[in-house]
Amino acid sequence: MDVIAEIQERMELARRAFDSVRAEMSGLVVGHQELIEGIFIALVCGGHCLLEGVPGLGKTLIVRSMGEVLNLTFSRIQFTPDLMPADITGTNVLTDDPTGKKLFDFQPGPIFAHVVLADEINRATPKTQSALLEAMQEQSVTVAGRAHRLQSPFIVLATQNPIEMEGTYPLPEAQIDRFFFKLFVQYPNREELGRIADLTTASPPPSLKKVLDGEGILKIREWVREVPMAEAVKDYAVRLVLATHPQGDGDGAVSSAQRFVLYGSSPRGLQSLILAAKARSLLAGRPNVSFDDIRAGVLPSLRHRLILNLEGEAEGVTSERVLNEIVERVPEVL
Amino acid sequence: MIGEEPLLQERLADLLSWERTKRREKILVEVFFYSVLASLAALPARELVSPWMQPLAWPALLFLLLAPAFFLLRPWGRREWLRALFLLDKTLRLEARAITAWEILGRRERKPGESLVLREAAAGLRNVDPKTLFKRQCSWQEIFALPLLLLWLLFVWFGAGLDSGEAARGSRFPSLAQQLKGFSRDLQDRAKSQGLTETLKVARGLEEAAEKGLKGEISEKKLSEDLAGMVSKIDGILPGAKEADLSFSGVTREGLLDLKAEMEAFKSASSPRGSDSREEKRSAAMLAKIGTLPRLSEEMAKRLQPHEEMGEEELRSLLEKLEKSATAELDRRTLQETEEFLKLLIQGGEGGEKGEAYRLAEQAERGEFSDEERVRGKGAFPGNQPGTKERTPQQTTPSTAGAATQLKGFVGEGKGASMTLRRALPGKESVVRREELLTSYRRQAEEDLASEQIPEGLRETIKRYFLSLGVSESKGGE
Repeated sequence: MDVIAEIQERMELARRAFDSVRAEMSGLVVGHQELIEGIFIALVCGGHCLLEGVPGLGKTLIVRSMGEVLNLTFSRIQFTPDLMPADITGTNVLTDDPTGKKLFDFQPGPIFAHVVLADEINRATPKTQSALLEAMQEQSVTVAGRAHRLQSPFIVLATQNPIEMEGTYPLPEAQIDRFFFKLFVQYPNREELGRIADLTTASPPPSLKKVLDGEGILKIREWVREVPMAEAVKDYAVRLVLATHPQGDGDGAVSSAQRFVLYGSSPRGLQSLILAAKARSLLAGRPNVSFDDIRAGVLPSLRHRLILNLEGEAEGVTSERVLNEIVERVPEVL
Repeated sequence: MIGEEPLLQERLADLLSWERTKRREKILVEVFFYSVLASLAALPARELVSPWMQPLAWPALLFLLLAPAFFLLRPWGRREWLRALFLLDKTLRLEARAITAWEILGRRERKPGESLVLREAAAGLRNVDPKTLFKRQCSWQEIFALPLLLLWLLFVWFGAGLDSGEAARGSRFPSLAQQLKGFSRDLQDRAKSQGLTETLKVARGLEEAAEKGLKGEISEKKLSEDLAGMVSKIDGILPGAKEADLSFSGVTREGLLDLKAEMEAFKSASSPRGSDSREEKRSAAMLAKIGTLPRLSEEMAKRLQPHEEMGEEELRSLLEKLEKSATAELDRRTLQETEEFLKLLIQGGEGGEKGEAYRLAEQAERGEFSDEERVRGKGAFPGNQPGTKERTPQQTTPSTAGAATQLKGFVGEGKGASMTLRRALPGKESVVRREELLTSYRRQAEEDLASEQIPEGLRETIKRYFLSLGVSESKGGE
């Protein structure tokens, strides 16, 4: 087959898969289009998402539906202060073999699923959190000296409640950095609330069709990395990341970053920005990454990677405000 | 149909070439603008610039200096073509396809996805003409360049009213070269009309130096040095100048001019040598004629012993000698005046108090001379200002009955420098004799005839008229 035709077919497949996922989920989930898009992009890029939103907005529903539509296994872990690492990763239990001999058998924990919802991750102790985050990074868990490979594709969707901070263990910066995206779960508007009421209080919810599978997702993941990107576009992404640093000077200096940011984005932020841009262009049916693709990924990729200083916190400055100013000030080409 | 890659290459190369041309033009306009602006700003300081650099040439010189520097500091590079391609993408909504395609075209190896980028970029650029898509846009420098140039020309044309302080004061007066030229012209006119050979030579030398100064071939400083050399030269000429064989001490310049005019009139009216009448009769007629000419008769009386008799030849010889001596004396005095004027001019050119000549010229314009200054006669422009000549008390004494007084300045339409008037004694007729008045008129007419104000064709008629006045008088007397 002609190379170009093959590429076009790939792009078409990816675009159609994404459209189908969105269309299928919209039958059950009202609104949250950006959230769905973000989760799907993180999935095809091999990343994990940190979802932040008040309880009752449908986070669990979205994640569960996503797993169902994508024909992926789903598990949910409710994080509590007494949750132990073994409760997540699994543990060895003593069993008898058919000959009556005693031996340890590994019982996989809830982490062994394609889609894992870590609900209220900040309620667990740091020890438990780190067990999950290690699994996220390495895509494997080690129990009693034996490494157990996790399923692929694998995505963790961790949620945080921004209003109930009492008795929580905020995630350390190093661990937050491991999340590909941080997405906000927005409160639905009037129209969306009306539709939610109709969907949930009348006839039983419709069943979801499986439009994709794990293999398809892995293929798309490969294609994402092959999307061409110009040096100038890459340079733009690099300059955006550099502009988040308070030490930025010259062309990349942005006043609010210099004033309110303590630490800027890590290189992981750049990786996330570029991969997300590639995925976005592929899912939009474009053969190359554009400046708009980079811009669109700035907030979800970098917002959780900026650590504001005391002045920023005292003045109520948000990382979104700083990032918006950076996007506004940093030119596409120098 | 052209293939995708060649088409893309052609279109992108066209675009970059067009953008490069526009940028070059923009830089040139900017350089031009800043050159004119800098020239305009530097105009008040033009006195400090060497005279060979005429203000009109400043923008061109600055342009030639700045243009290479601008091109060197702002070369066409990656940044420029990147901007051009970005603009193309943005205008055609190609979503970075053009930039990506340009980079891909620069590589030898192609990845699978890149061919599609090239195809889509080529499709987007197939019918694009960069020149119509990205037309020239006027920058603010382009808008203001022409008005600025006109402003510049206006200032240069009207001698730049931008000067301030000392420079402004200085600009109200003619430059050293201009003053020198005016003076040398007047001097040449005088020398020609009065037959002053040495003065004429010096005047021509001065005009030559002035011309060089005006053309910018030499600086004002060099001109001053040349003038100093000229002063030394005059110093050298003066002792060796034809000393008058006969002394004219106590005779004023006007007296000498009157004497020359009377001798001219005498020569025109007297009978030629070897005419029919007897020698005794001819010499008697000559003496009678001399008697009607007051200045001549006065000078003759000084040089003849009482009751001394002279033949016609002796008389003619004495008259010739007298004329030569008067001319040499006039020549000498004019050279002295010239020397004084040049010294003043050099002082003015060398700065100090901006020169006495400038100050006096300014005062003369405003009519602010004190009586003392008028008496001292410190003016820099002989004949046009309070004179550089020593004046006799007779010239400045107030008019008293019977005494002569001289009115300086323009008389009627002619350019005569003065007119001698004598007040009549109470109850009596004027003491100014008709001959004296005629001589004065004749002398004045001679000067006017030498000037350029009287048309060439009428000069001879006027000359004959004044000569006929003297002749008719003498005939009437007989």
